[in-house]
Amino acid sequence: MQKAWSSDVQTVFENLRLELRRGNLTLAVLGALTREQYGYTLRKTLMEHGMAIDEGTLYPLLRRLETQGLLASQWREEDKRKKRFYRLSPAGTEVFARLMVEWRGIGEAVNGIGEPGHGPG
Amino acid sequence: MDLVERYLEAVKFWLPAHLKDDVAAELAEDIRSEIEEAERAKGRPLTEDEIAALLKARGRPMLVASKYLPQHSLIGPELYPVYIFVLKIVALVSLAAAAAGWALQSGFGNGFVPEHVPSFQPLNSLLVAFAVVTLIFAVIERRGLDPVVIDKWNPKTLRPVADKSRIKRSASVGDIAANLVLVCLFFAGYLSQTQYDFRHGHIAFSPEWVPYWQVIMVFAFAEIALSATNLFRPYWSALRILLRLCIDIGKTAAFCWLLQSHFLRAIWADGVPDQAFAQLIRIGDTAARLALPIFALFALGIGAAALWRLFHLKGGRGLAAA
Repeated sequence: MQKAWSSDVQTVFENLRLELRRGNLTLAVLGALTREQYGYTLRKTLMEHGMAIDEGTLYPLLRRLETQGLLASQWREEDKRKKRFYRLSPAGTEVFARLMVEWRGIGEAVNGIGEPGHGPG
Repeated sequence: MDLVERYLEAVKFWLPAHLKDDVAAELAEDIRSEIEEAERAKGRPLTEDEIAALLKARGRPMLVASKYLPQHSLIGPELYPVYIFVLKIVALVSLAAAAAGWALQSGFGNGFVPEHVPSFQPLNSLLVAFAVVTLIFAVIERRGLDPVVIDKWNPKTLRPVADKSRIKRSASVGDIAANLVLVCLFFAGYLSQTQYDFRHGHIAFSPEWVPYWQVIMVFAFAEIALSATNLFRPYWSALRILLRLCIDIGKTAAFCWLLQSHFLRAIWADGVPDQAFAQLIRIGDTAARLALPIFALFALGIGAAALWRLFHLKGGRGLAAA
């Protein structure tokens, strides 16, 4: 059973957790767009994988990634409705692969540092 | 769908022209998809209240729109510490000017302040000063910090760490020199008379002028001894802090006693209008009236300085170490 925290510590934890998730959101979005999707299905995909993201964060993020050349988008009609489909651009694919290597490295480093015998004393 | 249209219009209102339609179209598609999914789950169309709840969960239109805009700040995080530092200085200077203005007007009356100087309004001055500083920093922020300036610094030119308990040798030397000048003037006889006749003028002081300087001489010798000790042992001790306090309070008390005696009795010089001298005499009279508050003010400052020195005594003996 987890130890009960004071509300201050709980708030600090929540902020740090959100910060950590925010840092990984871009990676999750890039990963999800290795196959083409439109905004709403992308949101659902991320939610199903435990990376829920609100639309107010997702769409500006998609727009920014597209401006940076990592995504390509296209308006297309599907089910008689116009939808904007996104997928990784060639540059985005390359950046995503490198970021994954970096991310795994960070994970291993943090795991290593957190293991017993690495702390002070 | 009327609510959705109204929501989209409200979001568009806060967006720049080149983003309005594109963002609204994508947002509309997302909202419609969400409504359709909810309707499929419920097996019926959503009510207006349910659509309103769905839109409310998305947030205020202005906040939704703001997320599509680049983040702007009037003063960014790089400049913010400097901005606050400058504001503090401006606030201090404005308050000091306000205090001085108040003291002049209440002590010497409005007649003392020249007519062309507008009446002093501390709050207005403070607000204007803050606004000007903010404007300057906002301009710097907008222009962006010069990367050359950011990189152009040398750790070797950083200020040395201040030793707050150390007495500066220059201060000790200055004290000794100033007191020696007074001693020389006193023994040369310049401070032991109440009437001074010059080639083109005359000045007369109250009878208290002479005993005042005699008292000051006692303090001058004490101060020379204290400063000489400080010169060779440049760290305050509790005893020397007490001595400094006594000397400073004693000198201030003597000066205020002199002020009370309306010490400037007569003054004239060739070519200078009588009104100017009359004004000087009036200032002397006001100073005599305010001698006690002036003493209290100075004593407060001297006491605060002594406490500060006591607080920073070296070797963990000060109040700071407690």
